[in-house]
Amino acid sequence: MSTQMEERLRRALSARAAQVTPADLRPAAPPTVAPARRPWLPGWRSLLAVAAVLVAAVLVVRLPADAPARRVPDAPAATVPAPSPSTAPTVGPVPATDPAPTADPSPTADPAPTTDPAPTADPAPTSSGSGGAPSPAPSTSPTVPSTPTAPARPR
Amino acid sequence: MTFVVTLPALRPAWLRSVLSGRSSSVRGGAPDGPPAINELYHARRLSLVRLAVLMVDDLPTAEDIVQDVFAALYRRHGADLRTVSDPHAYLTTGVMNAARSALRRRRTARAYVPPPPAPAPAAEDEVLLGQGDREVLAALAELTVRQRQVVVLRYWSELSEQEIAEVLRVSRGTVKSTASRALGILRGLLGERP
Repeated sequence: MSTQMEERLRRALSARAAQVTPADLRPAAPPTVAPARRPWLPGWRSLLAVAAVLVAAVLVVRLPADAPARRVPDAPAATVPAPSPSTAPTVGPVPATDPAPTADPSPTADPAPTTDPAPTADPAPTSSGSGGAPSPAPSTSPTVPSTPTAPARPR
Repeated sequence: MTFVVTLPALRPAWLRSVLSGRSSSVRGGAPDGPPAINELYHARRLSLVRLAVLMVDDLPTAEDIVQDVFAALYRRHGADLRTVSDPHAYLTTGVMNAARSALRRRRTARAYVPPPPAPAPAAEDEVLLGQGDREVLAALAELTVRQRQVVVLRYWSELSEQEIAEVLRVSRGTVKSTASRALGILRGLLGERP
């Protein structure tokens, strides 16, 4: 049993819907007419998988081959000569008093003095090998000039 | 020799739609014929556009809604709709959801931008729509989206409360209470006593 309101509703809705006719619509475009997004073909997937495997294999082979080449450069710090501690305090004042580096008999024998704060000092290996010349060995004790050997300086 | 012809199971709403001339029959998709979704498109497009127009009051928007719903159906299930249990209910639900989204977007936009002036009705519209019909449609615009959905499905699509509940995915009691509330509002707006 429908009321008057329901009849009015039905009549109004039908009249509004009847206003839309097939001539009012846009040209029909069924959903299959528009090209949908094409899924990837199986061949592409297999090709991509093979390429990924090849890249992975190349990386695995190349990495161990490159590893030993990186170890070639090694630090030459082990060539630093071991000082003779007995000679260090006694020859302390010598570098301070001797400003001439030409007094060294073999200044080019050892490259270590280039890093030494006292360039006039004679490196230990060469001086110990010569025997007679005093070897201050300044590279092992940079504090040597401050030792109490200063009063022994001749005036 | 006996030929057995199997008829497709027609739901009551679909049967009413067919009998009212709103759409033609839809086959299940012959192997050498056109895809089933295209037949469904040609058969249901006009009725779905009308349904959307009753919801959104705008023909271009209604056409966009129907086109989007068919496109979504094709993307999800392909051209062969054998996997869809009830394509008609699926389409009706899709149109209703899309119309609700369009109305919400429109109301949100109107909160910031004043609505454009309404176009003058055409002469044929004046003939088709009487003064009483225009009042009813204006009162329908005052309802909430859910109330409007229930009223349109109940009094234009002629669906039962259970079918409306399935389309809108709410309970039957919600449909009943929403329809009752909507009719009360319309009576108040139109100055009619229950």
